[in-house]
Amino acid sequence: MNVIHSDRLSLGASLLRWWSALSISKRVCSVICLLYLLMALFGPVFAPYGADDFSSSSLLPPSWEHLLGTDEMGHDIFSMLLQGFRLSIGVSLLAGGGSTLVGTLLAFASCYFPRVGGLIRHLANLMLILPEMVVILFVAIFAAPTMANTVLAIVFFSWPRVFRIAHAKILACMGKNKVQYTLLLGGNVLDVARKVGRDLYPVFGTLLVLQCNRAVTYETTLAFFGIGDPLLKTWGRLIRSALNYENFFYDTTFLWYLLPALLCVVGFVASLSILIFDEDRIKDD
Amino acid sequence: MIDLKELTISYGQKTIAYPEIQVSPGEAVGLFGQSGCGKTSLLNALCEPDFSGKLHYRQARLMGRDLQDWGWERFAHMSYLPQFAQSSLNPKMPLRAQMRLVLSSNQRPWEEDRLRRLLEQLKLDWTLLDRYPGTLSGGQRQRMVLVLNLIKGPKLLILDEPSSALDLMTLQEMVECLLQIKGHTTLLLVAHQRAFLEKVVDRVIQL
Amino acid sequence: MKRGAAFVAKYLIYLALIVCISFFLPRLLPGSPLSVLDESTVSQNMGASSQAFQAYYAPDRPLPEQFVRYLGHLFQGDLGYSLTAKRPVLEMIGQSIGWSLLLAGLSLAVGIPLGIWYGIRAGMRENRRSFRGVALVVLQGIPVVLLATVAQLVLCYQLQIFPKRGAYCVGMTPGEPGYWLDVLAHMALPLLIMTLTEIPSIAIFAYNSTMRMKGEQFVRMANYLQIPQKVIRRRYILPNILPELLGKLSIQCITCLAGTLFVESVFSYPGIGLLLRTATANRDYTLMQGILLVVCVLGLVISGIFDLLIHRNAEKC
Repeated sequence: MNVIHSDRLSLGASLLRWWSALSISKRVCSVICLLYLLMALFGPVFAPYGADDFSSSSLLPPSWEHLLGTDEMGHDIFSMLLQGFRLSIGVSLLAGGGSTLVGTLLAFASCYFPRVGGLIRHLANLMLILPEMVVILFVAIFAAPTMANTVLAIVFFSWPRVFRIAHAKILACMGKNKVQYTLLLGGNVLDVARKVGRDLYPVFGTLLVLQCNRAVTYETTLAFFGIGDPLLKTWGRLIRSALNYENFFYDTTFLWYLLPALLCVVGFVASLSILIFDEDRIKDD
Repeated sequence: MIDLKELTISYGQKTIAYPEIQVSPGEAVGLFGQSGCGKTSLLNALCEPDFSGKLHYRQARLMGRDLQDWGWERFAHMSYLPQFAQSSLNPKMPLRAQMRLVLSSNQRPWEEDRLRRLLEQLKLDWTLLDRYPGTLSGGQRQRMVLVLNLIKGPKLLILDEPSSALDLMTLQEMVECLLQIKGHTTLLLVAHQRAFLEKVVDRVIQL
Repeated sequence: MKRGAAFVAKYLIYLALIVCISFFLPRLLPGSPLSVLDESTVSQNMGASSQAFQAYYAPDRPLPEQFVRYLGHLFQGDLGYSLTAKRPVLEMIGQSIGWSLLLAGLSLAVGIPLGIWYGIRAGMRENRRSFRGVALVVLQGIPVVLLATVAQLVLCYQLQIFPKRGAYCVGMTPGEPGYWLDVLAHMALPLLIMTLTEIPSIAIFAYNSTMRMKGEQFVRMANYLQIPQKVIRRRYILPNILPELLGKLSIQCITCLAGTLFVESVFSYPGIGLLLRTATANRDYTLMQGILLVVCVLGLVISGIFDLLIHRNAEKC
């Protein structure tokens, strides 16, 4: 009697295999990303002051009481920075995840239903011609300044990039024999989706990281223009506040006001970029 | 020209041992063998400077030097026509320009008469030179690649299956052309059609 | 002829869609002063209650009538009045667009050849590390506004190497001696930032394409035929990667357009980017809408030009 072994690895085993295939720099970056995520989850717990607490004197330089000093209103900058972890990374994950999901689902739908797919492809082509950052700015300005609107705006206008890549990959995958076989046997949408998903989940993973990366850029740029919820201090907002300070260019306040938030953003973006960097075939878009 | 004694090539999983192969200047030698017997590996070892296989030999000399001492400069003295050479022409350059480029890169002048005769021998129309490779047939392209390899004046010419993609009539032309250059160019011809080989070469080595 | 007609039709449809989007989008957004879904906020917006706003948008008229009014305005070239500057939007954009096109154009003229040259050169080399892909990828990822801000802070204010803002010193006029030199001096840093942000994408794409093209038979044959590396890069690799490169460049130019706007915002360069900054700071809806329309149409024009280029390139051989 023959025993057929399933060759699908458990989650732990596939994680281990992925880790061992990484180079040193990529391992460092994954650890950094993990640290960021942990800070997002638990960071604000360690904040010495509440984010809304502006009882301290304004514009104090760094000291033991205020590790990064205070801003014009008297908020503790270090606490705001910690709060920023949760907010910025949250926006990044939500917007990045959302746009990846939308783009992937639409790509799959347009491959599975070719007639509707033609329409969606034309729409995506048009949206790719428009400079999305400007459109997102436009949308964010007209809409009410809430975090939800920011996320929705980003999702709504950055799915075409995901769509284009996912569409090409899914189409190629659906042309393969095993998928054709499933279709022939009368498999329904879910069966096909499962087969495609099993082959292409690395691609989706890469797209997710790419989109999260982009979402950070979008959110930071939006905040730079003063758009978004003024009370939710993401890193972008913090940078904007620092820039609003009237003596910003002329004294050394920027060292503790601007630089920490800036370094957080750059560190996050850089780690994500290096993580998906493939030396053999560098990701271009 | 070529002197190989007790050569074995390890490439991937395979290890192939070769008989003694000697080609004197001016000779035309044919290599005959079935597919998979190591013809391609041997040619790769002789002609690819970045060949990744491992060589073990008592002697392996190419044009007076040890084989492994040669880099890309070997092509100043030899020409190599790989199999299925139809896609060996730059699709974005007219043929005349490609010929000029080959001549200037090898410090040779544009001698119109010689070139006309060569093209005529291979049944290639002179007007083809104004066209792009994409507009030529497979056989025409293969012969054009041979032209480019000949006009650089090599001392040694190695051809891998030049008879593929040619129909019977132009095969005759190819044979006649090769016979013409035989005296002053050393030829190493690899083929799996013995009849074709025997028309052209002085002797055949079986792999 | 038929293909030409299809091409024109496609872009006319895109144009029509852009006009529709620019009309409907503000009206569909929750919280927008023009929102048809949420009327309660209309009165809350200060700018929305101004006479100019009411005159241009007529938000209390039925929707179809608003659309017809909008189309009518567009055909007459009337993009409304800026709520803050009290000047016609079209006039403001017209004055600024020259600076933006200058900055964007120059940065592309420098960045594209450099990126392609670097990518092809590195692709042809044996050593993969020499491409410094990591540095390029990181540079590509950093938000332009941050890069520009830091550059302005360090190089203009702290170290005082470059002029701080604007396109020329206040008070200088085009006729004066030294005007153009001044313009160049002020353009130097924005141009540098723009070019730095463009090169990575292009270089990476050219590198990937070159790596693929390197293994092709005709490139190998070129090596057998002793053709010099310089000629191989220029006449074998470049013309053959050009089709896909053009597609990439089309997108890259549009991204560059957006990047120009942001760099201008940071450096107060008197292009459309500066208008954008004032529009967003003051919730100047008409100006914002005008900018969006103009930028989208520019994007359309760029895309159309590249479509034509790709088509011409494909037909040649």
